[in-house]
Amino acid sequence: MDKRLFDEAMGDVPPATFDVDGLVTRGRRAVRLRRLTSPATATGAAVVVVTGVVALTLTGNDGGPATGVGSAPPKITTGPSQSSRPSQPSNPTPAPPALCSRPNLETPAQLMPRLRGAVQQALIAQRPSLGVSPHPKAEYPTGVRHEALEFYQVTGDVQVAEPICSGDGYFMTMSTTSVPVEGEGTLTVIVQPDFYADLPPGDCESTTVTPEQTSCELVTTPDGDTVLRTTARMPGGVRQNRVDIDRADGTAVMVTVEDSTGGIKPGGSPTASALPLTLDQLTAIGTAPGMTLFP
Amino acid sequence: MKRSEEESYRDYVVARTDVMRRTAYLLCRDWHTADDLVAITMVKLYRHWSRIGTESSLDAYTRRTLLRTWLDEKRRPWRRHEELAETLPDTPDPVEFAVVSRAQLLDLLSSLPPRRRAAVVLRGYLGLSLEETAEILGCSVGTVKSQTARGLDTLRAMAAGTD
Repeated sequence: MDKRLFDEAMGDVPPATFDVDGLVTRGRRAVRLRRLTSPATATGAAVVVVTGVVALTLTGNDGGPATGVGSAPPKITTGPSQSSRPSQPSNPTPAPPALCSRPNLETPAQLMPRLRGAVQQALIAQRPSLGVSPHPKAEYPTGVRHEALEFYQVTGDVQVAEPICSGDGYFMTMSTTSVPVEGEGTLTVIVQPDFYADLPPGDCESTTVTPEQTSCELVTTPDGDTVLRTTARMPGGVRQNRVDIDRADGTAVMVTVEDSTGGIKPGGSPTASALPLTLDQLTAIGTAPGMTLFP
Repeated sequence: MKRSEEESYRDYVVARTDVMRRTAYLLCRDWHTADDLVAITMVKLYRHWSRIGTESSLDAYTRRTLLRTWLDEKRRPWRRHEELAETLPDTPDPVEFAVVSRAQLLDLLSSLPPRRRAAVVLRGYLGLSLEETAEILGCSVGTVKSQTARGLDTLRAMAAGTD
């Protein structure tokens, strides 16, 4: 019994359902978020926070498109330095939150369609003129294509009919956005528990900050959600707005938009003249009441 | 992570993805699960790349992470339908399995308990030594050697049952 026998037994190998860019993106996020669970990072953050915080209201002046009609983005606070992070207890061994012990937790089968509705509502509130359609990359597993805003489980071990706290899960949706005159882009939303995979948001001093990143700030909403807001411009000109949200209830939400239907890959070309949503709008979408594992 | 480090990580992932996917498939017999296992492994690798990316034992680290990721999956309460084995087999003789078809080979493999299956994949597919196999599975070389006969007996019995 040798390698050749096994290879012959396996036959044709199907295309992988992941690529190196996706792994790097997930890796960056994991590293960034891991830093906040380490005692050393928490100590550093505690030193920063004694300088105090100031409150500010974000009104959409972040270089993105005008908001137009929609609900107001949440009021948020930020530290004096864009790279600082409010102090919070270190949590080197994440554990399910108390909410996991309550009865009648949703299952992924219930969660995913509800999240779709929540995103849809939030989009209408933030930018009603934004159109969405299926994205060519919204295919998982291979051969199974998903509708616009439809959530699907990419990885994790929580079973579709089991309570959401019974295992890790990674639920995402990817859609093509369209705005008259401006063109088409990409909207991606990922929701997952932050108590299984070291997933509180990171800070702007993280070593994972890339040369493509053009801005970064960490803010806290009145509800206690922390939001890492970043912008990036890739070689080739594709731009991205991204928010990584650590909700107070233990839900991690990432919302990104690119001005390209090809996503954030280096070397791609913009397919829109502007990003479809601002950081404020992304923050409002990601912190909408329904964007949680615990409605 | 520095850009140069990230480039080396990308190169490594591209170079190893195929064999890692195949290895994972032999363990779990499902390509989607295999992809999940490899993706989880590679993300874990990314987190530690700055420290281990230049280590000569990088491949061993990656294999160990993949194996542990899979074994962790098997330990989840709702997946405890397979018995964990304390013993590890040596690699079987190809002649002994000459009568087994390719499909039956995979079925035989799947019917082994997880750790025993892992040992067969590590030794038979990846060609690792007894020492490397023992290190990855967290048991001594002596244990591996002493249990070889028992493991082979199990495989022989199953192969005979396919005739």
